Amino acid sequence: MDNHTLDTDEELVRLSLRDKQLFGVLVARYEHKLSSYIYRLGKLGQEDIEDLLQEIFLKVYQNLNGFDQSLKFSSWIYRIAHNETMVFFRRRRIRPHGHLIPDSEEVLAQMASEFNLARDTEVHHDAELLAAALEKLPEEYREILVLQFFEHKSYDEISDILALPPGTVSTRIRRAKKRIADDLRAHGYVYG
Amino acid sequence: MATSMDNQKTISEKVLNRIMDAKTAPRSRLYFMLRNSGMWLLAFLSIVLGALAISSFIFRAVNTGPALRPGLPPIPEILLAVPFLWIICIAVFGYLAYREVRSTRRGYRYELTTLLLATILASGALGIVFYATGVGFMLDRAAAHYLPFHTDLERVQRDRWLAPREGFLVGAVRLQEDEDTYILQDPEDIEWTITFATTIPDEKLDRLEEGQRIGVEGEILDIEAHTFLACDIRSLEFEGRGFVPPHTPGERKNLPPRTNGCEDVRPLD
Repeated sequence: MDNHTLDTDEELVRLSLRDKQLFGVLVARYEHKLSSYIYRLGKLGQEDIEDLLQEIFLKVYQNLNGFDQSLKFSSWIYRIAHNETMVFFRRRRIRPHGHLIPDSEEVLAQMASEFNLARDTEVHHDAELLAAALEKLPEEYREILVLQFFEHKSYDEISDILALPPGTVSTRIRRAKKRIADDLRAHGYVYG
Repeated sequence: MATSMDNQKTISEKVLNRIMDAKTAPRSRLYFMLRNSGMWLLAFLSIVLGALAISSFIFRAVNTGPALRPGLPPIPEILLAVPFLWIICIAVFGYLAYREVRSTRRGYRYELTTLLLATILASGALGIVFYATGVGFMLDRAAAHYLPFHTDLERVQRDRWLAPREGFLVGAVRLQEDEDTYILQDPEDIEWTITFATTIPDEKLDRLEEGQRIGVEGEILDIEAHTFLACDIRSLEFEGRGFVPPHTPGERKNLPPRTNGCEDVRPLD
């Protein structure tokens, strides 16, 4: 197999349709990202996440011809991951409830800065507060903030992933931030 | 059961193995093309069905008023005339059209209000066309005939207007050969000889046609002979019959002879 690591996702989709083996490059490229994303969406063990990942990638493979070239491939695969995860939760009757993973603290620090909370000496404490506030958010708000802050997706990408109109995305983000701000204010933190 | 060797494999290897083992292949492009087209087709059908419901709704809105004769409270008959069936259909098909459009490839990008408004506008515009071409009329008549819970407007007309002792009659005009005698055949097949008063505007008489269903306001002249003095008349033919109106104005050259005696009666329209 040639080295395809420099190919774009879209090129790999095209190539995978001709050569199954190349789909493996796409899997390797998204395995870790999706694994973190799923973990942030709900409490699952490593084995469940692996099973779920396999199902997601199989579904992606089966639907490769349905990939809309006007979308980013990452948005499309995240959408499938999101939908499959939600189906998995429903089947297992698991309430989506996100969890922090080792790379979260840095993101939370960025969020703290967004909420005008960050102070050099208290970054860690602020991040904990933010994480707690995030945990308390209803699913529809939390998943959207996860995509924005942890997965670094733009409004348009979030719209494509969650299959929501862009206006709804921006409204939900605004409301989610307000809820977090209210929560922080209730803890005595001044929100700028 | 997963073996220790399986556990050492990467996700990528496991996925590829499953693809190979199950001989999984991507679904064809045609499948996705048909699915997307199918969604649009369903959306279109929902809009058409919504339009049919709207045309029938307009038909009833236009024709319920004349069916209710003056002098009686409009409720509860007017409630009976409300096309609940069509209102439910409009809501259901409107929702289906919205859902199908949302399921199309980029349909989710449209806001709920935009989609609902577009669906309503499309169904509304098509519904007006259907009403104007008589589709709403046919649909309503068919529903009145076949659906027992669908209020028949003709039945409402009959219940409201067939009260000769109270001064109201309903029936179909039967012209006699001399064209001077007008017979009104009421829904109970009683034939009333009608005498028209001078209070009836010429245009109304000018439009009278064989077979036309009319409501008459006046009084019984002779109950045994079934003669009735018409002080005013109202056409109860349904509006919205489409391109071919059943009665073309101006076809009759000679108006029927009339008598005086209805000065105190309030006109119907």
